[in-house]
Amino acid sequence: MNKISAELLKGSLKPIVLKLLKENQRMYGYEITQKVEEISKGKIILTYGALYPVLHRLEKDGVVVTEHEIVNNRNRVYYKLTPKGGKKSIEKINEMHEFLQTLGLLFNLGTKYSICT
Amino acid sequence: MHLSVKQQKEINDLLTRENITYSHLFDDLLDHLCCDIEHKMNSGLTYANASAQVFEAIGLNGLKEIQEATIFYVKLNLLVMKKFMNVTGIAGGILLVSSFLFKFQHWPGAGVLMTLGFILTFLGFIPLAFINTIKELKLKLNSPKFISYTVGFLILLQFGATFLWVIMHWPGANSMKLISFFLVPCVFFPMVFYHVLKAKTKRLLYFALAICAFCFVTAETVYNYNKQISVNRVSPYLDIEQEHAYMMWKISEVSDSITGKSVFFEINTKRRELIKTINTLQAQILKDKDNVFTMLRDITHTYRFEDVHRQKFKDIKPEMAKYRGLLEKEIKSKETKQYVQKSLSTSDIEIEGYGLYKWYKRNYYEVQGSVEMYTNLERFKLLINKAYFELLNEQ
Repeated sequence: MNKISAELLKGSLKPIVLKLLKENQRMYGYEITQKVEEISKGKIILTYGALYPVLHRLEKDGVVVTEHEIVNNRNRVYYKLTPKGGKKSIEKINEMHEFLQTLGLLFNLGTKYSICT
Repeated sequence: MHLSVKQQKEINDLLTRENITYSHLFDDLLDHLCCDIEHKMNSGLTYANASAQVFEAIGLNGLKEIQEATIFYVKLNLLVMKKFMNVTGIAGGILLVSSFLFKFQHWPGAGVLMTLGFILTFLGFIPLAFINTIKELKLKLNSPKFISYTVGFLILLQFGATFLWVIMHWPGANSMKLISFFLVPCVFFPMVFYHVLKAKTKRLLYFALAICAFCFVTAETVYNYNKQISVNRVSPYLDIEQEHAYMMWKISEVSDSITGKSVFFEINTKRRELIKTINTLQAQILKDKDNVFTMLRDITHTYRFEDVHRQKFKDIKPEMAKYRGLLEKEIKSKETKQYVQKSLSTSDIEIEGYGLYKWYKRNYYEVQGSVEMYTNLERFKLLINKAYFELLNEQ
């Protein structure tokens, strides 16, 4: 089982994080990496150095807000979409769908790999 | 399985040692690391093995690199803007300074350089510097500091606009100059120095802005001063030219009423020849003025303009003496004779402390091709014609 290369993943990180946050009310960093690894069956593993820049940038852009809670004697930071973030995530997800369909055409993947919305 | 307090403190201390201080990254990493280790411990590993695996994956200096990557990505836009600001600032500055040099030396291309420099500096660098300063200092919109920065920025823009208005000779330039010359020394500089004295950081930026403004004020003042000097140099020539034109008209008026005397024909011919020679010399002055290599020739002594000047006046000297002689013969009034002798004298003068001051030097000016030299020659022509007019007037 080969992991997807970081090069291919680079531009997809934001849409991946936004999609997960849209589907789950709030998530913390570790939870995001676990979910991605689970859904992708281990092919995509988000490293610390990949995930946290994206999360902090989304926070700076006002797309997500953070909530802090004490869990197991440590401060856990939950990330949650703002209303602006909600709109942005739909935008990015649609963009990703279009991109994947276009790639599907380019790589002659046919209907087998078309996205079910 | 959860980590013990002691184990968690170990990771806590590690993050503190690595100086993870950006935003809430400390909490993010602490929780994530603990969860990761706990997950591995749930698979049967000991704490030591689990934490070793997790930190091996992160790598040496990995925590610091994560922080740097986060800060970089968050501030990416600001960094790009900063780079752009630096480039436009440096390029704009170089272009503007070169354009001043080109303008003072009257080299071609000054206008293009000035326009480009102006666009880059006032429409690129200054606004970006303003935005950058606001963002870096995180100034709130209604804070007094933000207001003072905005005022300062607007004054700078107004100053730049004044500069452009003056150079392009657009209407309203004078009123803009007045506004600028009040605002910059009375409002802008005091604000700048107040901020500089109070600032703990970014002094370099303030100094750079202050120097920038100072340079422009100086450049504009110098440019206007130079312009005034040019006006002062040219106006004596224009006065003499006016007087000369009047004299020529007077000569033609009086000449019409005198008929028959052939000696006037000879004197007039001589007069015309002298004027022609001086006109040729003036034309040469103008031609040589445009020659970029004149200075080089002068240095290498392959061709000195003074030699040309001296030679030409060597030719004029005997002709002048003849002309003067003819006039003196025909002029009856003693005073007029004395005037003609003095004004058209070709003798060298002995000056105390200097020595013999050669006659040709009286109309020679050190800066070849200068307005002063041209003016002196124009005055010489006037004296030649005036002497002839005095003769005609006597008749």
